[in-house]
Amino acid sequence: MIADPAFKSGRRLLLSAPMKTVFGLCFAGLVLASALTAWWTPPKHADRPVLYWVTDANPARPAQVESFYRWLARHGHPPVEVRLDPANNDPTKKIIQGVSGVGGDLLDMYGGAMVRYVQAVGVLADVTDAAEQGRFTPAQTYPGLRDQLVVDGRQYGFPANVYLNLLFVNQATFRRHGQPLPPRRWTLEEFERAGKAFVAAANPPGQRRRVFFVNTIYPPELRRSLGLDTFNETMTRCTLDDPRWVTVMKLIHQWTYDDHLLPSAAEFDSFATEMGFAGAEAGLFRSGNFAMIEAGRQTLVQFREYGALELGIAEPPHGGFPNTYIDARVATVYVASRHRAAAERFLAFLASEDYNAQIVADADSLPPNPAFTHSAAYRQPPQYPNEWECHAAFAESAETIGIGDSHSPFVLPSEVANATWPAYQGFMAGIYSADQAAIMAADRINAAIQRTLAEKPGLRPAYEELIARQKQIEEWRAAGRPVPLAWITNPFHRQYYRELGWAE
Amino acid sequence: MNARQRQHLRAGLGFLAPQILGFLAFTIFPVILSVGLAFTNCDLRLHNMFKDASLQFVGWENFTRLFTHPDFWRFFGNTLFLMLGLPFAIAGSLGAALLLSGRTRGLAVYRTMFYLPHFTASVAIFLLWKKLFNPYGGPINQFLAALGFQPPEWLNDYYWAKPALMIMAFWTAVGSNNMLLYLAGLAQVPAELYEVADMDGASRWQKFWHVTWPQLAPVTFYIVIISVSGGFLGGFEMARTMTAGGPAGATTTLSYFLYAEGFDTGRLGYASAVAWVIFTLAFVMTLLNWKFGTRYVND
Repeated sequence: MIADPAFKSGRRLLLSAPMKTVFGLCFAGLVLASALTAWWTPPKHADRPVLYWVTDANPARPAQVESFYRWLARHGHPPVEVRLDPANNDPTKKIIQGVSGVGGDLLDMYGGAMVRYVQAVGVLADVTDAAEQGRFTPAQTYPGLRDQLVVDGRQYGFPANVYLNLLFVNQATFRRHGQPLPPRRWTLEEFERAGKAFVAAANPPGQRRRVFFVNTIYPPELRRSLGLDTFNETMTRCTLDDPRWVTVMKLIHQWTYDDHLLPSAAEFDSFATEMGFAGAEAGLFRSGNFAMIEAGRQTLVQFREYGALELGIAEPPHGGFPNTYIDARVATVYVASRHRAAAERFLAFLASEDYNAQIVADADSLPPNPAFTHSAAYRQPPQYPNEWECHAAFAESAETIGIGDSHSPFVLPSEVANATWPAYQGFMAGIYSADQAAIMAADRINAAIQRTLAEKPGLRPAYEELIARQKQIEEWRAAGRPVPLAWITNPFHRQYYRELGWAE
Repeated sequence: MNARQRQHLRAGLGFLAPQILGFLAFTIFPVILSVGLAFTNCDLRLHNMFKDASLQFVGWENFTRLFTHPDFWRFFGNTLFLMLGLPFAIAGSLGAALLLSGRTRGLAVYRTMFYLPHFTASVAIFLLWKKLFNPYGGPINQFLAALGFQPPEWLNDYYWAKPALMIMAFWTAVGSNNMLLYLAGLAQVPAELYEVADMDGASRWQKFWHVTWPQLAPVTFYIVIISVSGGFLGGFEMARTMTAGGPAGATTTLSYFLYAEGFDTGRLGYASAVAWVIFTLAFVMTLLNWKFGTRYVND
């Protein structure tokens, strides 16, 4: 290589004195720039413990932190400093940093599925005892959220925001097309009938449809309304290979491609709407392209920017068992936090009036503590009379029809999603029949359960015990005997059995 | 090596040290580690500083599990399908380089315009193309509809999603580094060869086919090697940004599958096996290219 004249000349150039000088100057410049940066950056040292809160860049966060400081002072707790860390809010970052020993003190988890996964990794602190002392146990939040916070009987966080989806109704859109407003609760048949009449009235014949009855209907809600969950009562087997799931998929397909009550993915993409805080849906709801959108109370933050929309609320349609999903942004404590007591106090703050009053006023989803949804400030905010019907509906639904997702200890939520949705999409795209899609999803999830058991033999005894219990449940059900609720680990089935009087 | 040379060497190594150390720590070490992990049951849920489960050697189990995965061959097929666009992309780069190698006024402007996609953030390009492929309001479909065609739903359509990504990849590839390499290669072609060809009365096509193309063979060979390797390893950003691997897995490539297995499930041993299978595929293709491609280069 040295024999290459080009290389030789390059080497000479590189090692010649002027080049060294250039390098030296660059190095000195970088050192100087670093020194200047360090000088300009606010001091990192603090005279009190610093909590790093890995959360999103929501503009409400600084005010929440200030409120936490006041709450600490009022209750005589030692002061802390909370530094927001939205740059590391990506789930993968949280896990990798967590297992590397450098996680933030407070970690936001988006939904119970994520809580379960990160807890399984071992990154989350068990806050059960602190929750008892600080009064932020599952009893301080909505009953449907218990299984999103508790794993194997231990609590790992407390909700910061509670999500629950209902159908927002744009009353002006219904009036514009001469259609009656939807009832609060409706069956699948009533929904379909009203939807067909609406789209027929709203879309001139022979033209491309631009007005839809609703933006989307979450298929699992319909499935649960027919009494079918992803898992059986003991969460030992996936039950998606059930004709009820086939029925739901076919129904959604019909509503999308035959009746045009819902836009297809392509039709949705075709709306060139600027994405706002609540996504394109809010803008399309306002413009009348969607008469209803399925969304949470936090969408009101966006609606308030539009002025006084005439809002109503309807539940997702049901096939006998009204329900909707409830979930939360759950604040958790990093297991290796150096200021764990202070971090746990932050969770206690989330259950306090100070924090909940902020969520009530901002309309940023439901407040974590349902006790604060009974006030006039929540139900009838004086500056937003157009929302009055919505607030009460969300609060009532969260305590009645809101049921959290079921998470089997024998399969990862991501594996469930990766098995369910491609099969569903395949059916919607015409690749598989509904029966094939249902069987495919169930087979894959059940295979994943067996894989977990092979990888973690320690789970096998509990699995065998639950299998035996499942058999017993099925025998008792077949005999028409009420089943002890304690036998049922699936939150959906617990609620379903209770409502239908099948439980002891 | 005399004292002065040793001093120069030390200085050179000193300047390179940060880069070398970073490369060793963040590239070479993880690569070597992943070889070992591919033969273990390494799982984030079992093996980390907060867990005391011991790492177990599982032999080829991760690999056999991968080859029997219901979707692996489909995603492999997706990856190969997307690579079918490579010859067109390479030809496009060559065409652009030929256009931009002449003596035209404002050549620097044209070159910059062609190269612009290369230094535009890829996510911005993906979002732009998502708009272009918009089934109803997008300009592509409006154009096709104006011509009387029934336009497809592109990214929303199971069968059209991959061709849509290939079209976009072609556009980005035309003005990529390949074009710069071809431009550099064209500048190296001795002018005498063209003069001789002119004296022989060769047409433009004959000059291209008998002079330019053989002279560019080393560059083409390099581009093919890099493009094929990139084809096996690529597709992640596109899938993540534009389609999330859908519809129904139609645009899930091996690299996207690797990410999903690694981070959605935490099974790092298995994900490492996926990574090494991808590497092996790329490596084998490179060897084949060397074996069968170099003869044209040497000729």
